[in-house]
Amino acid sequence: MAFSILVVDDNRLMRGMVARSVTLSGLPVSSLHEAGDGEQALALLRRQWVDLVLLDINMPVMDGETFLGQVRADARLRATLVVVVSTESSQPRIARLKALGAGFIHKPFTPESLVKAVQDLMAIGSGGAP
Amino acid sequence: MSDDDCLMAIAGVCEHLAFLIPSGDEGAAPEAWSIQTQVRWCGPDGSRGRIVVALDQGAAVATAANLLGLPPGQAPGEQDVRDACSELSNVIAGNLLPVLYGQDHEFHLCPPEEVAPARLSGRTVLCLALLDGTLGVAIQGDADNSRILKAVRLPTGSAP
Ligand SMILES: [Mg+2]
Repeated sequence: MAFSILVVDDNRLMRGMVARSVTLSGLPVSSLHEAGDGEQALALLRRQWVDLVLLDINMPVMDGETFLGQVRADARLRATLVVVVSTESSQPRIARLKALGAGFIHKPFTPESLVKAVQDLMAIGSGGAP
Repeated sequence: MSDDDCLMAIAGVCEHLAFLIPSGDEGAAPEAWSIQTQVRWCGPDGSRGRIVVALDQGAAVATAANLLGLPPGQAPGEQDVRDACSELSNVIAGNLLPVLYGQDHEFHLCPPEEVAPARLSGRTVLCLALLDGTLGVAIQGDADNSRILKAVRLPTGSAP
């Protein structure tokens, strides 16, 4: 399976860096999209098929946690795989994100941790061991 | 929480995010910083503060070049340097708060703002010497954040 991937981060350079990490990770990619905040990302998801969202939390306009809540509340989008890529360290907030079915990797991150987070999510989605 | 814990967290971000390697020398503030960015945050019980990150010219240019993955000798543009230093300060702030206050609290971080370079001041000012230049961090707490400070959590029954 090749992934259609959406990178959501308010920092342009960080979007590029996440995209490069995706390439380095060896994940098969069919297309790569970018959005600068949660609102842009939602709009893109509603007009374009995306398999995997790599999501920042601290963003203006709409933050990542609000975006994730809206994705899970939308019947057509709720199955989208989401991995949060954030500086977030608050255990209560990380637990909330995971309860919404998101994977989590902490910034700074390595391409290997990205692959592992995606594999873990897919294992959960297919009913296998995480 | 000690200055060394904070410096370790900062050095970890520099190395793993921006491939900036500590030189091992003692850090000292340069004559003038090239770029300075602040991240304001608020947390529980009305706690709030600012983390200011300053870079000299060498560190700022290296941060941008490394985040962009530029080949050696290719200089980043001015806007790239600004964006790179913003993201570095965002990640430093996100990684310092749990060192300062623990992982049980939720913090809201504002987007990084560029401020006029000035001498760093605050509760704690740290300088890190890197192979490419110098990075400084000032930790500024508004009001009294001691309620959420890890360092002042005393064991039950101990004298204040
Ligand atoms: Mg952000």
